[in-house]
Amino acid sequence: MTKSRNARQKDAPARGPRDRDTARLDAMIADAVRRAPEPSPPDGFSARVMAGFAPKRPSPLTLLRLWLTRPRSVTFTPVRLASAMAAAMVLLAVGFLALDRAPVGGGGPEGPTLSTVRFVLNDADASARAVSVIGSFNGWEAETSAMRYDAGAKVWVLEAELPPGDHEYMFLVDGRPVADPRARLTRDDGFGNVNAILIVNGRHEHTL
Amino acid sequence: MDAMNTRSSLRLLLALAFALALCARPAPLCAGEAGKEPCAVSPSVAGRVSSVAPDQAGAILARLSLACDEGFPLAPFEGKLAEGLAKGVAPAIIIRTLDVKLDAFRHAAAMLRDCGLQPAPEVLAVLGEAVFGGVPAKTLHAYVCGYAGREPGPFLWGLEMAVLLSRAGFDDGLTRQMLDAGFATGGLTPDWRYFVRVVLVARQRGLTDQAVAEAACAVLRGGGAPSDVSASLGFTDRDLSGRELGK
Repeated sequence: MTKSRNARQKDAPARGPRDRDTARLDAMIADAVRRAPEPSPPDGFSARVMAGFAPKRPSPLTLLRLWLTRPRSVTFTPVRLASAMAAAMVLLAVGFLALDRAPVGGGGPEGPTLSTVRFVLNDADASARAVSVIGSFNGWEAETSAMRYDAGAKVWVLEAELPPGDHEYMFLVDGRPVADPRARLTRDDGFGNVNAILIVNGRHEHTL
Repeated sequence: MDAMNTRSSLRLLLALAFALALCARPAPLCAGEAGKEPCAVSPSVAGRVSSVAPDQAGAILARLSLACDEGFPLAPFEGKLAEGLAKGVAPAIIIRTLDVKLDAFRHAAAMLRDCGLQPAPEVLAVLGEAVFGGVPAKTLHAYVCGYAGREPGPFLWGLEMAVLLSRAGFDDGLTRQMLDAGFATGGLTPDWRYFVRVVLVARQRGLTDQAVAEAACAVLRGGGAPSDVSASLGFTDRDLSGRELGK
């Protein structure tokens, strides 16, 4: 402002004594203002001003949009790709297993009530090496229902949690199917064997 | 920067793997009818079939495909296949048994149609298994045509009850008396499916089937449960449970 005023004074044409007095007075006032002591700002003024200029944090939606629209490059080596593919295969296998598992032993909060059933097979001379229960409740898989030998009672035993329903089963003794000799209800399996029928009604009234 | 890019690429691949795992379903065996879920062999069964010689595996899968094409539930066929393989049955015999089972389900579907019913999967599964298991066609036909107009739920429960009673050698006429009483009063609940348990325990105690049927009819007319029948015959639910299987 002082500079522009000086410029105007320099560019102005020559005037009368009254104009010169006015110009001198202006110069004196400007000089007094320049020399006047400068008051210091109140406490915290600078911090408050700077706080007004602090950058705003973008919303999560904006961050997501920025992340999705920001171009990026993807590089990999064959070794890293192989390990990633291996991890992907493991995840797929886990997914398949999770989808495929029948709720024989589990059952969520809304699932059917499971009842404990105790399977027992006599083996007084401990002649069998491995015994399992295979049935419609475990997909006829011997691996999931191996029995243990109780040497004191001389019997093979398995306790299993079964859902309500009528289930068919047989014992698998050293790989050979053996019918339950004490089954009260049986059924021809179509292969020349006899399956026992086990009825579970879900209220721990579980056996026949 | 390279490390960051590598991590990004791994995350991308893992995300793809997750997406694949979520979308993964058993491969369709054949296209179902419009509006129906396509049939599919479960991965575990597909894995087991792979243990059989290729030509026999093909013949087995052809039977499953046929079951699917004819609108039969696949689970009974998969179960029979798994059962045969677990018992070490020769694949040729498994194939022959699957053929017998297919015929049983065809017979069951025809029976339902004869009685004016659409072969619903749940009913077809019970009826097909009953035919396959040797329950007399006359018994099944009498039930299906006799109670064809009933509500789907009680109709299915009554069918399961009749099939199990028939397997236990219970007289068809007595079964019909109980079913009539149950359908007349609306007292046929899911618990009655396994009424055969009461019958077998009662026989052990020297009671006649006639006495059991009379007690059951009385309970059904009053809207009671099978446990009320056992109580009226002098034994409790405890007598029906806790027996160790086998020995």
